[in-house]
Amino acid sequence: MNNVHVKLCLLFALASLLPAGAGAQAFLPVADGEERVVRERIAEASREMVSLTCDFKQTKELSILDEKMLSVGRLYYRQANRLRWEYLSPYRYTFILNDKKILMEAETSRNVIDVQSSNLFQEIVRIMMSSINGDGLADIRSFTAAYYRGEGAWRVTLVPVRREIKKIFSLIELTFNTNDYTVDSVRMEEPNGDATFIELSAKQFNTGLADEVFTID
Amino acid sequence: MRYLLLISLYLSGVSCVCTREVPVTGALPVGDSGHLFRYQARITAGRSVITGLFVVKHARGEWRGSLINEFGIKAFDFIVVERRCRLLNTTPFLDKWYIRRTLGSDLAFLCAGGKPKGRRVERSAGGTVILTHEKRHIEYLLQPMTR
Repeated sequence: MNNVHVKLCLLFALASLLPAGAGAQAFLPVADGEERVVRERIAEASREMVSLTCDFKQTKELSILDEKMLSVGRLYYRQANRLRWEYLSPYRYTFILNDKKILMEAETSRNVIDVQSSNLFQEIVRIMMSSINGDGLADIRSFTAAYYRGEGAWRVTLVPVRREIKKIFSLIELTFNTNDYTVDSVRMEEPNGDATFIELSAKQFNTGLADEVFTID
Repeated sequence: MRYLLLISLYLSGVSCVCTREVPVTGALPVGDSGHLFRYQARITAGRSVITGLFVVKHARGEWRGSLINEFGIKAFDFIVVERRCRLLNTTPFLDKWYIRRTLGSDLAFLCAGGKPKGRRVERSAGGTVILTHEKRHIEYLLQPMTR
């Protein structure tokens, strides 16, 4: 009876692992010479992406609090330096980057700051914008890139070279789909093991986003 | 007997002054054990500004929290136990001994109270907390996030 119980437990454990294994995409290093193709396709898609509107789901792991924080929202991006990052749940919160100005707006507060007043902001905004439009791949001085191919997707892992960025991220992982060569997800790992995972979905390109979307009064 | 009365009045006066000067508890709400409080945060020091989401919870006699920016990138983690703050995983721009010392003592004061030492706390009915470190010209603005 004991033996049967153990076998049943094992079977159950294996069955519960199967969907996870089946859903996880396998990525293998790209063939020689393919790196250049990946870079060119992504750069081309980035150049053609005048604007982007999409949904995002952000999962933040915080080991110090033993919490996983899930947020969802909507992203609006327009070349060259316009970004609206709008959280809709669990809290409403809007972050707008309009060239050198930043607006942060919650239901009870509104703050406008200058990007140049914060080194941290400048660096992070640069990295985030690069992640959205794929420019990070061209920034060979700041990162060491490795390229992988999966089914219908490319994955690029960026390991920071600069000491200051290394202290913020240990790894940035960008996953691009091979339909339109744009970013589907971004995973940012921190040196202490915490990570932020952002998934983009329902993407719409070049819809002519109005200036009002990015207005900061 | 008259002297005893004067001494006791004097002592009660001193204790009143102490009560005003040394808050027993911090400026942040304790809530249920393990309840996570979220604030929109803005820390201003001269012309430098840090903004983001300030998350904090109190459990088993200690405060644990983190300041993360809008994209989820961390500025620092902290643990406050018995009015002492330990800063962890501090972003390089803040990882200077003098910043850590001031930031740590301000966070400890914010969470657990203590001697003001040139600090002033304002709390609004809506739950907004403003800590002003007058000596260092730093302001911590914490606005509760509402659903």
